[in-house]
Amino acid sequence: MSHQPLSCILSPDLLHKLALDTTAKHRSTILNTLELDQSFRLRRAELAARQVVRPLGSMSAGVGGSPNRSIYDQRHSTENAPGTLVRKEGQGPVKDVSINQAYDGFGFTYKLYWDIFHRDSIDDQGMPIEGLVHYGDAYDNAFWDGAGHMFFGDGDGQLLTDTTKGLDVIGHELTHGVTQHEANLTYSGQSGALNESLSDVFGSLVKQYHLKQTAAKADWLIGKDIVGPQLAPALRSMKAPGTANQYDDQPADMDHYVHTSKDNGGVHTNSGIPNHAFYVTATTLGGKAWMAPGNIWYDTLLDSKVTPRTTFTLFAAVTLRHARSRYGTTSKEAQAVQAGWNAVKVRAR
Amino acid sequence: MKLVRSGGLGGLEMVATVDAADLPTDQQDVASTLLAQDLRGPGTSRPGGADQFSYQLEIQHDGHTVLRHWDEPEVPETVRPLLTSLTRQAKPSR
Ligand SMILES: [Zn+2]
Repeated sequence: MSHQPLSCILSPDLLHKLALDTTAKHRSTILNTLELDQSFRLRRAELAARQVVRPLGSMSAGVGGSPNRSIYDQRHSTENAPGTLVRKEGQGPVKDVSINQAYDGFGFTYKLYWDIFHRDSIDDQGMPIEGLVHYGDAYDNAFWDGAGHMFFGDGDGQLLTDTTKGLDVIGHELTHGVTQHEANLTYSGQSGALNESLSDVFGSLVKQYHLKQTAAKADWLIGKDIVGPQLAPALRSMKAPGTANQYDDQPADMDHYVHTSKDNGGVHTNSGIPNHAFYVTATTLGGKAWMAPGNIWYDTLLDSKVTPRTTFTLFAAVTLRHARSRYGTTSKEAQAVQAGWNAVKVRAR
Repeated sequence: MKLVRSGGLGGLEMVATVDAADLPTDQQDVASTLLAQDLRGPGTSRPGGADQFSYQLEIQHDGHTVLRHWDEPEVPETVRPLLTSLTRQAKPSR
């Protein structure tokens, strides 16, 4: 077995990719595909593939795989510079539960990106993960500042509660950083809605991966653990956009796309459309949503064709292309992606 | 005066309409200053940011109206108490 030539182990498609792709990202993606398959044969192939690609680039064992977290206490100020450093990487829990929730949530988020997508933090270069907690006075928000910081408010108890309580919310904010370093989708209109949707998709996957939930078992709600009574039961629903709370006006398909000047052209509204496409893809396929669906969406986020002004139609086409190249033109994965975009009336081909 | 807060993680628009006379005097002073001049914060919003609030403040006085707009994180510290106090009275607009 150990002398079996590579061509008998790897599909021609995969070999072709291994030969052509020279970027570390693509190599890690290919290796990831192989690693996810638990069969002995493919595990051997993975080892062989590592031997093939190692001389070409920087990938080496033992690099990456652990986050570098710093949590700061803003002590209810609206100062935008980091406040008091209260817990850094490797330090044990502190008394303040919000600090620990942010620290742990970043850890679980890092873990999904590393375990499944072989991504080393926000920039894939081990970038420090910095959370600023207790921002503002009863501040009803969590946000990414575009400069490497995630801010978390305590909520007013009516609309939102402590925003560090939501693992999907922490994953959502960190993913804004990932998106900024990859497709850098412009935060308005359809590209802004895709930016928002990617944060919901990967935020939801962080939670599902941590809870070991299948697509069928997951609730597909966003912000369930941080809403107050006015926004209960959740901020958004990927399963049924527009039904998450009494104010939720998310559309579930292109026929109901909302044209507005508010919220950068409704980025948190129209994200319901790509969110639902991912949900339909994942539930059509069944199993663990972070596997094939997550990998297809992650490949798309890294694809150079996905530029800052990407539309839903282009994004959909790129997901389909990755589903076909990864799993085969007529694979059930490609069919599920097609079903996802069909459900939201976005033409994908 | 009328405050519209938009954006944020929830994307929920919040609106408050308040009579300036009902505000604390220091906040009335800030509102008067804003009638005469635009105040800007030290920060500038960055293009890569996400989920940040935007505020639009409409102030009416002696038959004319001024509009002031800030995106987080560029809200000036002198204006923030006024925005916080108006936000507390705001209701979801949809
Ligand atoms: Zn967001």
